[in-house]
Amino acid sequence: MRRTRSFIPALTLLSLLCGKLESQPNKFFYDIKKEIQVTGTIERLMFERKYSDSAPFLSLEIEENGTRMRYIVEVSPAWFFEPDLHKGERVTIFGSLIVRGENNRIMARMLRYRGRETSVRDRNGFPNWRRGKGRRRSRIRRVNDPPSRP
Amino acid sequence: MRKAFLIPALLLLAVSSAQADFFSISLFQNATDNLFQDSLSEGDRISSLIFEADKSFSGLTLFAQGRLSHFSQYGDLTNYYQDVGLDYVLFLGGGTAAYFALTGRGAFYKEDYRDFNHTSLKFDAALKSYLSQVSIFKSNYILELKNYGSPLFDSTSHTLDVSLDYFFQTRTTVKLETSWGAKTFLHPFSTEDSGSSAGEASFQNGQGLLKGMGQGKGKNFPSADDPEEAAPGSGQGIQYLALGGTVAQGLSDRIGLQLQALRQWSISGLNPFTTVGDFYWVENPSYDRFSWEGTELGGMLTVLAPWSMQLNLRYEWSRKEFPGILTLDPEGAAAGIARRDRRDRLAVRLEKNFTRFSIFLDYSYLNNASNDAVFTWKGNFFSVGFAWHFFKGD
Repeated sequence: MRRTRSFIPALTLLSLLCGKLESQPNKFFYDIKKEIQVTGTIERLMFERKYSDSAPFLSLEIEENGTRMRYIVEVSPAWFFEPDLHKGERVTIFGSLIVRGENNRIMARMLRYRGRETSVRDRNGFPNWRRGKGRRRSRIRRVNDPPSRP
Repeated sequence: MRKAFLIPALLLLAVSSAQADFFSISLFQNATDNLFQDSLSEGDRISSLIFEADKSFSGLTLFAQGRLSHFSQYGDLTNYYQDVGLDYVLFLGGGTAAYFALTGRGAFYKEDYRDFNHTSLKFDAALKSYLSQVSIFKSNYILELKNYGSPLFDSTSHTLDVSLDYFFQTRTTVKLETSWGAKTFLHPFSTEDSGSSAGEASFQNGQGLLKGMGQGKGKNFPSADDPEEAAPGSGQGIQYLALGGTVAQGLSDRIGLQLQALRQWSISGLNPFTTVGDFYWVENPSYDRFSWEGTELGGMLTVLAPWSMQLNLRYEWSRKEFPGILTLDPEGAAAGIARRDRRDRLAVRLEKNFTRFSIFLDYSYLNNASNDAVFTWKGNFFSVGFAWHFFKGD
């Protein structure tokens, strides 16, 4: 009973917080109707300054298996520190095709590589990345590790 | 104790989330049959609530993390950790970037473990540089200052990690790593130790480790019998150097295999305690990267399973010695033989990430064989977790 009484206010507060955060409008464009999946090999890693007020983006040039079509995949700025990708690695990209034609460009939502799957944006295109070392993402992944792991 | 932590934690939660760009709440339920990781095999269940928030402005990111852990059987180990920090990424051009962070921490335990209370300040500087499209150089330097409830544990430390990797056309990555660390114990012996609350605890429930630590006896260490050497304020340092390597093979975009090896040497100094202890889910200040020398070997298989679940299978073997630490007899007195442990660990982790939340399942089995009977033990460790993430603009 005592646990229930202390838990209810916590849950109430949590639900209020959810409402506040989710009610704010989305300002990023990611067209889920143009979402495609590309599996290929990294041909080049680039660091492009996309927007004047943000850090350079990590972008990958991917050659698709079979078709040999090339795509420039925008990943994220803060994703630079984690993980360690190299030219020649095989990846699968899930993203929105934002430019079609000679210079295909994809805004990546999720990357799959070496048995890992990492989301860099949600389905609305809002970025998941935070901080240079991918700290938030890595913290969530390692949050299950106690201060002293067995 | 529970109210004293819960109310400020909830207030901080409310303030952080209202201002944050990102906010996350995680709940973990853990269980083990060997909390203190010793021959007595005492179990416990631990419930953990973790919240994180960050806010970016002008290139800087302000972050906070709070963690409340409640122990069901050994309630005195219940603790609260709070981190607050700033970080910054500086892009230097040509595939090179630097990362800087300054983190302050407060850790609070109940009365019987007040010696584990501490505040710390950590400065972190990292560099990552693509030397070519297939080779990455990384370095990381950490300076940390820790101030404990028991001055015996007060320390400053420096660590420097450097690595270089190369990706071959066979989809094999080879990484070479070297690491150096130096830790200075600011008060390795204090006349206050005999009055410490931890000195009253019995050996039987794992708290005897604190009693042993408070005696401060060991090789090249001041003793209470020698008043000249027992003067408080004298420092003692310990340094290590490590060399290691990793070989990783991408078998497909769904499977990865990794093998690691590490050899670490203690190049100067000794542990200033009579024993070292490593508890589960508790940061024991006597046991860290500086306290041992030896060898670690490991292998990990990473699989992207159906329904986008990530599965990790891991095996680790290690053989460690603890400089200055001798085996103990049943009464807790030093037996004159350097302590040596050999450990096997088998771990399985399953993770499923959704857009707004993630689920984790974790199991580890450990078998620790030691020439000190107290530290010969086996243990099972379970963890189930749920993390909920919110982004501003959702």
